[in-house]
Amino acid sequence: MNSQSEKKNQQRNRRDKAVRYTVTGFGALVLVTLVVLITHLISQALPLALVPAIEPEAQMALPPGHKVLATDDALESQPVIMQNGECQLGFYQVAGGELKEVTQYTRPCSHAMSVMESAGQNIITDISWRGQARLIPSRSIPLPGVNFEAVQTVGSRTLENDQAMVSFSLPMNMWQAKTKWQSWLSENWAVVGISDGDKKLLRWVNRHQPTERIDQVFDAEDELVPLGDAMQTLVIRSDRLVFQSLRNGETGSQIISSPVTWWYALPKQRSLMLADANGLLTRWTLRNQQGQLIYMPTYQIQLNDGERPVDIAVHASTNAMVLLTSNHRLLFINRVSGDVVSDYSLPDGVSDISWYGDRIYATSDKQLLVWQVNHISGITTWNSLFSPQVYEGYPDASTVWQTTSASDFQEAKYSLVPLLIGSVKASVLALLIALPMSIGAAIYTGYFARNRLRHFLKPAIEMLEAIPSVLIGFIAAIWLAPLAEQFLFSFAFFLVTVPVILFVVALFQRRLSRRLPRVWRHGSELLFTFVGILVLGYISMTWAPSLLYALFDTQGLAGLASESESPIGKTTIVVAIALGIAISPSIYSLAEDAISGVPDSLKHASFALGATRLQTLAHVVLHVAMPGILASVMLGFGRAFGETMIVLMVTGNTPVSSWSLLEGLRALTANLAIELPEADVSSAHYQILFLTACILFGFTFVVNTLAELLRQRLRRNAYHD
Amino acid sequence: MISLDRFLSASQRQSFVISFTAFLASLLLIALLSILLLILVRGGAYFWPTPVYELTFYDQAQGARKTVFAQQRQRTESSGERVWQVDYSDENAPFGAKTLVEESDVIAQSLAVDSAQINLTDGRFILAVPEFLSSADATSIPVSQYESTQAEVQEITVKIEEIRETWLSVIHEKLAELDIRKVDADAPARLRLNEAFEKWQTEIIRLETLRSAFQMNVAFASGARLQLPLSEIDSFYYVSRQSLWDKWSMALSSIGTFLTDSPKQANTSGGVFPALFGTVLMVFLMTIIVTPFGVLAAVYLSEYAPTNGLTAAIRVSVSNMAGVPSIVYGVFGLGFFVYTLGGSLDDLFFADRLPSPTMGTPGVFWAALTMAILTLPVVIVATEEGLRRVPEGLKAGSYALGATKAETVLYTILPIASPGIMTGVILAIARAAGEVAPLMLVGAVKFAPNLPIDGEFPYLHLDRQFMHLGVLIYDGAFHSQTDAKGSSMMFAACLLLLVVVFVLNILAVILRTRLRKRYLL
Repeated sequence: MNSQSEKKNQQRNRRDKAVRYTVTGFGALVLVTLVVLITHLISQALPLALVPAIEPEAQMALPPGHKVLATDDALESQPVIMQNGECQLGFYQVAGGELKEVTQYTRPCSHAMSVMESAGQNIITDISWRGQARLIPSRSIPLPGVNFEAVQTVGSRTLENDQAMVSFSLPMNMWQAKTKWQSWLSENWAVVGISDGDKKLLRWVNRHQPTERIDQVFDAEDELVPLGDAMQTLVIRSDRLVFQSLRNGETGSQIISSPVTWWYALPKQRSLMLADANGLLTRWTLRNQQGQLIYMPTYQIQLNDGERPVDIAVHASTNAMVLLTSNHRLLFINRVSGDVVSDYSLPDGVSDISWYGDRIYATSDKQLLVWQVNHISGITTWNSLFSPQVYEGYPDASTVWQTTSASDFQEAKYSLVPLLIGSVKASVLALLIALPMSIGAAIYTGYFARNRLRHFLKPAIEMLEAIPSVLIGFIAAIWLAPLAEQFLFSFAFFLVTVPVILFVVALFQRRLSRRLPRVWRHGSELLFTFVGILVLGYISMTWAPSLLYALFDTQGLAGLASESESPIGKTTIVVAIALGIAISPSIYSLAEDAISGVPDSLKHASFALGATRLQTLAHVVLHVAMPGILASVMLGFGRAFGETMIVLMVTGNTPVSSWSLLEGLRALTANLAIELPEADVSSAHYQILFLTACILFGFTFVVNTLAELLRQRLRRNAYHD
Repeated sequence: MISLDRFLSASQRQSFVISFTAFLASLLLIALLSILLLILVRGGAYFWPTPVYELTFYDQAQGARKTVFAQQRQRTESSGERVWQVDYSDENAPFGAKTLVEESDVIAQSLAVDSAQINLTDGRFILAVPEFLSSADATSIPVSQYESTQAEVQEITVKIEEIRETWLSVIHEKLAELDIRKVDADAPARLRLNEAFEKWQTEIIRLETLRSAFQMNVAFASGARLQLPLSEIDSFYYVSRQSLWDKWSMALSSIGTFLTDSPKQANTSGGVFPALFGTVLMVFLMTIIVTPFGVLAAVYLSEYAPTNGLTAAIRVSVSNMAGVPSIVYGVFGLGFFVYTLGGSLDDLFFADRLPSPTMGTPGVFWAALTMAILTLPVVIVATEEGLRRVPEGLKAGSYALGATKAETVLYTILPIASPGIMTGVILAIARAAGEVAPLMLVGAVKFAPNLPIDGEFPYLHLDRQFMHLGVLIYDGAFHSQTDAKGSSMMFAACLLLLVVVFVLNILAVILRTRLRKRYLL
């Protein structure tokens, strides 16, 4: 060998290696893509499975002699309000991990004061000796900037100069004789309760219209919980609970076995947490009973022996709620389902907790403690996704999919049940429609029809598969849906009469086809049925509806429509037809392959034994092809389950948990198309949508794999049996 | 079957089953035919000219008789009543109004031979009789001179555009530069520019006045007259007296408009060019990505991969990926490409533009990438099929001649398998062209102000959102239901999409049969 050809060979070898690495690299890339696809889908849904966890973020000593009235979101440089003795109100901000004084307000020592939280805002109630009450939002109080150098020079100021948000007066005599007082806030109402030993007075003032005020008077022994936005007052007596409406008198009362010792109204006052002396916590929720909103008990949580609830804080945008107990436990609770998701122990002496964003603030006598909350979407439990829940304002426990605005203390209603029902309903019905059509057509073309006819029929029907689903959806929405409203009965009539016509055709077909020229004879049944369908279709469209109305004495669609909340055109029936037509060709194609793939030797053997074509079909061909047919059905179901555009365009996309054919539906796929672009990344909503994507992926992947295994078995059977 | 035994003989039973299966097969055929026919007829009707009638009817809403020029089609209501769906123009609603007229309210109607359909440049149209043209110096020009008069108008328009582009925009740029350099308001440079600006502006105003003097005087059925500026008129046709040839040429010209114009009047007229362009561009990008990826992966699987469980598992997974719902790919594309990859790219390269995202937002590139992953199984499976059909003898022959594996693959196997590869790629293109659901998540929008390609550097804007035929149709299904004309524009879009997808599919079928003929004999 001379050196030149050696060099050339080396070059060729190098090239060979390079190609090998490139090709292997691309092969690996496909594997990587697959893995990334699956892991990404799962990783995005995974936070749902984690439990909410807290980790200490900050710990700040309080100035001596100060008592925290409200923390606000201190680490986001909101002021912490503290009371310093009777006559000083201090505003502090966090700087460098410590509380720094921003300003001190002096106020008349005779004034009474409290701070309340309403919808994430702290509001100061200040009541003068003469009974003049003013509500001042803490964020409207001017602070001398965040510039801490400036703070020292500002010195003390008084609250008097600042604008009060709402101002109203209380009965002066009673106020001055008070033994106890308390105030409550809701979105629309400010309530001040005064007790003078003989009786208790609740004064309700409309925050938006302070001239509107309502007084309620109760016995001195009654414990009172005004439920602002529900405009009811809960009166707790030793033996019973009474709900007193602001305008309509008593709305409900319930006898209780053990006295209620602790209560907490959740923001918006649509839910209440009541606890008795045994540490049994009950959630009461406003429920719609025949148009009236009534508080009714739902779930219960039993605390440990001797443990009492101390405070509750609620997360604004999820269903999370934390409960602080007397044993310094912090329980994370899904406030809708009542599942206790996780618990942590806090240091001793912690008394008040509040929740802003992803931080929990707690105060003790000497310290302000802050925890960072992680995995907050872990509050979503299996229960809340799949079981019926009692939501505020709903009459019964129900499964609801309803996405809410990001904050505002609305209950998030993420039940997957309506979506699953929608998907299953649409795909099962579509399968019911597609199955006879496609399997029948497959038997005809794969077994009965002659080769020439088959070579024309198969590509023609498979052409249906190439039609983009958005076109089928468009036609179903624009053309079929209005038509369905007119011709639903015709369609039913058509389906019922077909077997009858076919029966007649069967009686005479032989005699008739004998008269036809020989070329036409084979396949004449196709011609007959084709014409038959058109004639029958015309008859059932023009005459059938009136005939049927007369026969059954119905009002036609008007009667039907009155039972359904959705327009007929948007109901499951239309979706089923459109989806059925869309999945038919893929079922047909595979089933036809299976049927025509049955070896001729088997068929011939059957004929040789004297079996007719029908007997051969029933006992040999279908028997051998069954795994393939099953596989095609499974694939068709998978395709119907994953189809997006048709269900998106034809259904009204109403997520209702109803199996009724006359109701609308929303499928998992359509839901993704509608909501994912708007979902906040890493919110619970986003993660739940990814969970539904995982369900879709997993379901179709499993179905396809099973179908593939079946088909492989078919191949073995056909050739080795 | 048992119950049938009583009534039918064995042969009749067989004939019953055959008829039944044939019935089901013909149901599928009828479904296919009715879909195709519907799209063809309704889509084709959008291009076909409709004659104009002079219609006198009793308007129930206004309680008065009305005589208008109208295009109408009959419809039967569910109650059995026949109504006319009427698009008409009159002096109160010159740019077209729609109404439903019951048959009993029609007083008189006759073909209006003199009336024309006058298409305006903004997509609207007027039905009226063109009487004469007028300009600044000639009060009455016969309509037959429309072409030459319109040419004069176009000339002026070109002049105006020329001034805008060559002078005004330059002056604007310079003024903006002065603003940035904070030059005083009374600096001589600025004054000079302002002077030039004034000069050209007056010239434009002069030309525009001149242009607006060119007008077409039209008359409505009631005798009322209207003057239309010629610059706003796109074209006009005497639809009522067209010969078949005229109708075909008008239909062809409206097909041309449909393919090259942008949507107007909220997707009810104009064309679908941006959507067609977006579809083609996205598919083109996808093809560039998926072809090497899919082909090389298939070559690996069938030629290089060891025959073990892992390879078999990969093969099964890949073919199963084809059955995964397309929306799941969209979810993956949005979550992984757009938010994760795009977000990191933004952090790395476009940090100065944050928080407004550059790549971390749906766009045409991410759409193409998502579609590439969606169509990857199609390409891999088809290519593998093609590779499997390469005769072993040829491979062995190549090795026997001393070729390395790379040489065998490159010079023997791939060329022979190329029709199979082409089939796979074309099937992938057809699938991508018809797929809509994932695109709605990763970048296709119902209206995009800009094309992803333009004259601005870097010319191809991969981060831009784009319009897509399928999304246009999806959107049309929700917004044009009440409007017969609008929905037929959507049907025309359906027809276009169908033609694109079918042509691609038929191409794939032809290639596949050619491949089989070549190597299976």
